[in-house]
Amino acid sequence: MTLRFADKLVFGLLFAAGFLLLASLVLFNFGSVLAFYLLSSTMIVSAAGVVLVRDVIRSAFLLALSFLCMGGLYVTLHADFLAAAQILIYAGAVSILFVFGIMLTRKGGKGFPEYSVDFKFFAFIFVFLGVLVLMGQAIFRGQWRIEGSTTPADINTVARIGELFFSQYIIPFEIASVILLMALIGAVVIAKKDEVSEESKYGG
Amino acid sequence: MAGKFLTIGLEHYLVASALLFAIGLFGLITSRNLIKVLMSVEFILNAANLNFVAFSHYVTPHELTGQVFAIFVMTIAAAEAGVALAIALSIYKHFRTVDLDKIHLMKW
Repeated sequence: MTLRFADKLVFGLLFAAGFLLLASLVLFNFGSVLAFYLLSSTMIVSAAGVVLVRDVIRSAFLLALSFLCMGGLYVTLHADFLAAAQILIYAGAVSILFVFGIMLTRKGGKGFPEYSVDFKFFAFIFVFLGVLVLMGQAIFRGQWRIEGSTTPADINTVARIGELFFSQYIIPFEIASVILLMALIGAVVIAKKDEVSEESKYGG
Repeated sequence: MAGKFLTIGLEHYLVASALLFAIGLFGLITSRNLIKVLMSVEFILNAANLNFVAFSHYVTPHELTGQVFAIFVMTIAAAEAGVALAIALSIYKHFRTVDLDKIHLMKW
């Protein structure tokens, strides 16, 4: 395989960029800043992809990518248990659930009908002018009572969260378990209902 | 000005989560596919979660209350996703589509 000059140029530039990146990581302790910008930009872009891509199955995989990046953001916030839970529950379970939902409810072939571009444009204006301006006002005008310190990285969050679950938040914890059981049974009953009636309709 | 971008503070996370919320709301309004609407709802819940954890990290650094709340939100979101997808499946069995404009049941 022979490389053309343009390929060599691209590879050289990539190597130079990588070297500069590593050097800046080491020299300026730039890692957490870089991690935040990389993870949040990937999260936002893939979230926009979920909404904008026409093929629903692709948006399911972009959804998983977005959830993974959010797990990384939890790591930058020193919430390690939550990051693991995010990746297990969202990037693992919920994304697969969506993939199943899409595959079970999709007619093969033609793409899904969408609203007109005009309507989307109005929705875009409404959301990004309305919501973002309001939230920007709240974020940048608000007086947050920020402590000087942040959550230390070496804290044992699993043990602390477990203690909170079994002391202060014991009632919500139990209610959450009941809700999960209800959702489990309810989902089975709802998804099964029509199949049974259809079987009885056709004499099965 | 450059220092504002190079030290990550609470506002950075709040802006990221506000963007995620806005994308979720946009998807909620403009999707005709029921599954895509559910995905947008997940984004909105995740934006709230990110806010919980960011506030827990910067405002109450020595209590993990925000993280506990985020776990509760995750629980409810998982239950919601399961039940909503079961409803979507049921709707698909009945109407043979998940196009929200073609589902005329319970519409006023």
